[in-house]
Amino acid sequence: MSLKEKLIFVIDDDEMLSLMLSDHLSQNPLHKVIRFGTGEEALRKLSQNPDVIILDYNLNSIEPNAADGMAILQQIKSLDKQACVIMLSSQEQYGTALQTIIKGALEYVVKDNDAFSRIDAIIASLN
Amino acid sequence: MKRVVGVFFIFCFVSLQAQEDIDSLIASWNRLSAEYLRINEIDSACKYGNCVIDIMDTRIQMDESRQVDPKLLALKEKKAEALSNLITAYGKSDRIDLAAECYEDALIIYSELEDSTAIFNLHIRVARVYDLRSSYQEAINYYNSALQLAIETNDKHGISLCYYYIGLNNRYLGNYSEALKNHLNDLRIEEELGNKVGIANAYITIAAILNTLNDRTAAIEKLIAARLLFEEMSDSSGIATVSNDLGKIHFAMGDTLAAIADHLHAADIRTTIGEFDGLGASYSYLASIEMLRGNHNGALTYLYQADDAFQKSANQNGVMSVQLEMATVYLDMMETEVAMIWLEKAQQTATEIMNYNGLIKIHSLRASVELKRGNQKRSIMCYQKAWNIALNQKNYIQLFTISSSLAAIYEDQKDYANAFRYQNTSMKYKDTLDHNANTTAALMLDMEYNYKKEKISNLLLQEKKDAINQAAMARQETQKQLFFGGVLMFLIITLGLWSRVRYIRKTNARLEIEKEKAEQSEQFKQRFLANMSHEIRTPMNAVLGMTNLTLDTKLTARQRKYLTAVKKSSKNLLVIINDILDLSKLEAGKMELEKIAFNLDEVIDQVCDTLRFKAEEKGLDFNAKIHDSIPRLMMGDPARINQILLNLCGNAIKFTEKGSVKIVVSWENEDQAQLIFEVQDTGIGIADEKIELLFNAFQQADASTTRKYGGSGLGLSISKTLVELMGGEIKVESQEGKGSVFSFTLACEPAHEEYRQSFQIQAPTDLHSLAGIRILLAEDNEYNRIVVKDTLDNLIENVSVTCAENGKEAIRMLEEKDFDLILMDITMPEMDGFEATIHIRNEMSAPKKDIPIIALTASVLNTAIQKCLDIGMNAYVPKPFRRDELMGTLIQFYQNKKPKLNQSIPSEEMPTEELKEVNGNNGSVTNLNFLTEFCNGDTKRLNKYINMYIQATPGNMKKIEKAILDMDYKALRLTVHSMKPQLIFMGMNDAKDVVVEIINNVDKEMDNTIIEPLVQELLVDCKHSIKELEATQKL
Repeated sequence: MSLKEKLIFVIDDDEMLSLMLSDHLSQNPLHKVIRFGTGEEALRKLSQNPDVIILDYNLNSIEPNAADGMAILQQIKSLDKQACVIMLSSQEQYGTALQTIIKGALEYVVKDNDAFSRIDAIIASLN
Repeated sequence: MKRVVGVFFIFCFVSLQAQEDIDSLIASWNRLSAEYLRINEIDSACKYGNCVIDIMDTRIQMDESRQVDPKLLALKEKKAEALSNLITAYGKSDRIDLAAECYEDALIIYSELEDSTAIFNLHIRVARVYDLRSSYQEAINYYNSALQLAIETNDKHGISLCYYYIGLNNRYLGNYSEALKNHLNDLRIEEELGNKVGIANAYITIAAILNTLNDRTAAIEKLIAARLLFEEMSDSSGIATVSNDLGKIHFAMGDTLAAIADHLHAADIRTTIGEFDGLGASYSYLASIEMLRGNHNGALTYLYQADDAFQKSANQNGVMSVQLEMATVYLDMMETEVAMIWLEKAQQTATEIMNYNGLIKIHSLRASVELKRGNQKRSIMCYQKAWNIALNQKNYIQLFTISSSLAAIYEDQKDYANAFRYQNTSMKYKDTLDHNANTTAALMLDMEYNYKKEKISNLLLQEKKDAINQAAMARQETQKQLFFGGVLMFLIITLGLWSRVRYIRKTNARLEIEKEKAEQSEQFKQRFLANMSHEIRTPMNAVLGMTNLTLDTKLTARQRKYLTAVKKSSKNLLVIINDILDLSKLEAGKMELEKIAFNLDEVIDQVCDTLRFKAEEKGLDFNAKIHDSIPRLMMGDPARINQILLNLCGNAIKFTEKGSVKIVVSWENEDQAQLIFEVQDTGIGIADEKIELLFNAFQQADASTTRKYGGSGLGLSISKTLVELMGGEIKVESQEGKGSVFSFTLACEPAHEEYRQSFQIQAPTDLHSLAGIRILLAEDNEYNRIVVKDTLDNLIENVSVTCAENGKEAIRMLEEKDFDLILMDITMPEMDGFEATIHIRNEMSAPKKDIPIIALTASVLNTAIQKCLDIGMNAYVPKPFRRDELMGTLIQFYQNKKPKLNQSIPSEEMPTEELKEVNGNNGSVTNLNFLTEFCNGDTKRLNKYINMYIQATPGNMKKIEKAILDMDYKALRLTVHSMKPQLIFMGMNDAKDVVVEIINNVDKEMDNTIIEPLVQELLVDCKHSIKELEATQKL
């Protein structure tokens, strides 16, 4: 296991969830978490080469004109094929999940009480 | 048997000595030959048969030259008899061409003699020879010849015999429709003959075929008919056979326990009557069940017993199949070496007795062992051996299986040409099988095999293309060709990828549709359930209530008797309806338990009161004992505990003819406080093997029980689920004929002091305190109106009950007159109870807006009840109501009315408070368990998140309200969807469900009438949640 610091991007317009997630992930001293409210912001910082990107599926509930998670995922993947993107959504539809996986997401996590432990497990498995 | 042969020896020797009669010597030799055949001493049988023929041939020649006709015929008949014996003997020793010669010679003689019975027997004899060699097609041909003859001579017994065997052989070949046809013919003739054994046997074979064709119910029917016949004839062997067959079907239906019981039953019978052949078979079935359950040791034990039995009956076929099974079991245990030893043994036995089917199986099994060892070449060799035998035997089922296996191996070896060849062959045999047996199973295989074939031909094509590419590249090494090759490869890959993506998309779309369908049907089910409980309980309420009222009037003895019967039946019906509704609720996971203070004595008394009459009717002692040390006031769900006890005690009384039924409640206070309820009876008891079935839904220990004792048969399974829901465990101990003890445990805690007080208030104390109460009753159903009004009139002094037929009328009446309390039905025309309550609470002026409103509802779904309380009703009384419950509630609100009136906004305050007392629900919409755990006790963090929620939610609520006003469902969907995670984190599961429902309805483009109530529900929850969470912040 490497003891390298991990840079994690959390892209979510749900302020509370994004804060909870970043608080949770920051409990690990090796995690450096940066939060973004829109995908566009995150894309501009992609040059920092994040190890993990946690991306919300619906990014336009607050900013109606913001690009949605699917579009951001495609852009991230076109800029960096190797990027580890974990999709986050409150939609429990299998079809939605499958779409994101086809488009290159590593995993699809539903926003519920188990979301945090699942994300932990996924990040741990990346080592 | 040897002794019999010995006796014959002496017999023929003596006759020869005494009379020097060559004819009787010949006759004895023929009989001796036949005896030897019976005990499988083939060589001796051949010897004597040949002796007879030799002597006969000489004498026939002598007589022919002398031209003595009558004697000649007798001599020829003797010769033919010897030839017949030889056919069987040769057949058994695998000298089939010699047997055929004998058959032809004998046929000539019998034709000459014009002895059609003998010819018929001859055909049957040859057919049996082929039958024993598993050459089913040949056997069928000979049986057919025999059949023709029997039809010509109108020999019905002969005809039915032929039909039976033709059917049997067709079944072995997999020609099920043909087999079924023949057996049905057999059955028809046996019925004409009135031959019970024949009819029963026909039923058994027909059942076996139906089972193969997956029509298990029909198969069981036929078997039961056969068993009845055997029972009539007291034919134990037949009953055992039926038991075995039932076992097979039960096993196929997945009812392993029943299957084991059936086979054990058969084995018992067979041990008693010393039928070792069948005993071996029974043990073999048991072994195969144990093996499939993964119990290898059990399987081996049974196999040894089977082996023992087969050895005793000298059934080499049985011995062989046991050896084969042994090998299979050891193979399953990964003990390849031991398995190989058994296979070796089985092969020896099979070769000795010429059991070709066995040999096919053995070789196939060997092949799979070799394959597991990674030795593909040897595996192919073994399959080839099996293949050759199967081809000889025209066993299409095996040919099909073997060719598929071979195709798989070749495919693995990348020998696509051979793989394709065998896949095609297997298709050919499958076609044959399909043609023969048009079973559903075969149809299901269809897709799979087409797919496999397609896959292999694709791979073949790919390989060819690769080869072409490689050749092209080797021949022309210029850059240009390489480039073209590259382009070609690229095109292929792109094509492949494109088709893959398309495939994924298609699957995806299909999955979506399927899921939607499933969800729709689930929703439909839930709606149906809610409707059912209302639609059924309302009329039942009327029936029960009116009956009670009529019973209170002056009646003749006969009228009273009839009405009592009506009351009793309606009560029974209500019990069954409740059972069914409960079960569907349990299954839908919708059962919600209450946690309220209750008095243990009362619960037990209630059970005793309800059932005492029933017990006394049967002359049973029925009493209850609660240990003194147990605290009487407990927390829990008394209604459910009552339901479980009623179920258990009801059953106990039902199944006890004399003696007693007793409830014992004890208390275990070690780690966790646990109440132990026991229901003891001295009834018929339950057999050990039936105990496990006991708690299954729709299954009583015996199906006939339902007919004899009544009931829905759901009680025990409901009780079990309820006990488990309450964190307990239900158990049963029973001795057949002596009685049963049902016991269950419940984790209960004693009630706290404050509950004790509230509890006391609820008990109906003094009905005088209700004197003069003015009640407004809003109820659309005329009968229910009468029931409620008369009940109130009878019980309360000076009560004034004013009736309204719907919500609008109720509001009008409330505006005109003063009332102390409203009893409000929920479902009413024009304006329902919800709307009326909202109007009263929000539009009317004080003090009328604060009038206590008690919902009368037939709905038992907690969401509906919750809704009553949320919109400002004070309590609810479920219909059909109990007098005590209604009175208790009236007293509570009539007395509490005055202090409540002083409060300014009772509609918001009261639900949460009253809930505790009336419903036991603590009323909070939020649950911080998850968040507390998530923050690991860090209150600062916890408060941070809670504050975020408190700040964000009003904004969201405004957005929602605006969206509803603008009818902008897209915005509504977006907002509620974005709230979902927050609701989850705050533990607001009901609100989350409402959000999901709103989204579903928006997606389905439902109209405002459906969406708006949901939105209102969500808003109420949000409002409550903010209040609750703010309260935690102040602490």
